Amino acid sequence: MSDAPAPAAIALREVSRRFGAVHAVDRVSLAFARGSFTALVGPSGCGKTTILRLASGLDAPDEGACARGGGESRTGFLFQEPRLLAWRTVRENVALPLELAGVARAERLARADAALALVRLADAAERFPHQLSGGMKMRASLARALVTRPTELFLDEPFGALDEVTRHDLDMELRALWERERFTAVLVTHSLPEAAFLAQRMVVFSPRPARVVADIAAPEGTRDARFWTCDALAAAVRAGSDAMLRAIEEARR
Amino acid sequence: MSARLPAHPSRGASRTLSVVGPIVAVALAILAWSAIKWALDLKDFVLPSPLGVARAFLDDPAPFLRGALQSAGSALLGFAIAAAGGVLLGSTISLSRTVERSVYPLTLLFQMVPLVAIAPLLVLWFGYGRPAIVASAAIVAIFPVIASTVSGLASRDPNLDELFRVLGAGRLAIWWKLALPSAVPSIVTGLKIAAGLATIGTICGEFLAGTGGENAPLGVMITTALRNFQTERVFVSVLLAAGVGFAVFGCVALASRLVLTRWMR
Repeated sequence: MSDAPAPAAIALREVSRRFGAVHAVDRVSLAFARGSFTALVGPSGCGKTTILRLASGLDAPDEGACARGGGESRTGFLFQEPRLLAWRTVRENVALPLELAGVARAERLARADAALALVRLADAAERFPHQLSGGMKMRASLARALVTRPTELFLDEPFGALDEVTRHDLDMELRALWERERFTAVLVTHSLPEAAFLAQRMVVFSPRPARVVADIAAPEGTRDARFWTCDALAAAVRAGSDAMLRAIEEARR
Repeated sequence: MSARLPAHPSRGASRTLSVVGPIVAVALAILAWSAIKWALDLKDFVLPSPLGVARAFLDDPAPFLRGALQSAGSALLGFAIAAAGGVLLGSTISLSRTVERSVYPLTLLFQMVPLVAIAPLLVLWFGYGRPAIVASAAIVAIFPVIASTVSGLASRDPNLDELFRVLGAGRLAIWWKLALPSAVPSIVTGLKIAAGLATIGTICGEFLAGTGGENAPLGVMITTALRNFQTERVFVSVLLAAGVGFAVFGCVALASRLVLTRWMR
């Protein structure tokens, strides 16, 4: 490992974004190192999703700039809802990004199967979305996000609607996938424990307009089921929660 | 378990009811029909007896069945034209909001202009015979297809729209791979309505543009029998026309079920 910092895959410089009278983001500067996993945490409605959209290029800032590191860049997206097409099988759904990119049928289906194997959903390839449980739908959605082998993966509260057990399972798998594939991951979540579990770094935001109030390193360690209850995770959660509560109090004054 | 789930036996009972119920209702209707005829002492040419109607059919069923086949053919052809034309027109209309706002109200003409009023024009343009009859069926049937296509294309999930844009899909890809598949359940509903209307349009078309002879369709058989005071033959033809309507609707419903397996929830 060299001492030089990894080059930034994405860098937001002094970005601001307004929607009419609503000031969503106020001069935020943030850099995401290549291959890092960053969680954006904050009170609901604070503008963290807006920051994710700005970082991904889905949205453009009113002020400031969003710079991207050179080299190959493929973007994957995981939304809060699975967003599967009801009339397509799971395999056809996962192949959709390749299909829209003009990849030949045989190749895209083979790659879809590989992505399904990655999320342990190979058995369900022939099924339709309505035949899947909530967790399986999210797995299929994750496979679709991974099928292009993205260099950057943006996750917008992807497992928020799932029950806790399923959510913990998927968190563990997502972390394992990231450790293997090392894409640059940016996650929006309102759950501090989830942020500390999944990411290497937790960026805490103030209530709207979003400002960075804390930038906390998540604990090191193997992400197994016991990690959820370890002291290091609890300490990171406490630090994040302190910063957030202070910011909320400040905003009230 | 069974005590807590009383749905099962009662579901079986309701299935029996759904078979026995209609049979009993039809029997009662025939009974009421006979009773009215007897009570009011109606002549056969005003209201034939159920038995007379059955006899009129069974004495020589061939021309009736040929007529029904003719009408069914016209109805299916008119329906097919309405289905293809309606989806095409509806899709074109949906391409832009400006076109939708300006052209869509115009398509209401198909719905609003009474068929009897334009049927003579159809005879003028197509002459007597099948083309005019098929055109009449298509004109009546096309509006629900247009309307269901337009509303189906408009009702897609905005979240999926965003997904496609994130994936870099162009307008054509969004239309072909998202909008149209999303519209299928709505279009199918429109097609089912169109199937029923196509039969009505066919019989109306036959009233005005049908030709008699060996292969006279049901509409012509109705008018001919009326002129000859053979009211029981009118009844046979009307019942067969209803049968044709059911058959056409059944074909469309069956086909749509096969298509819709992918859309079932």
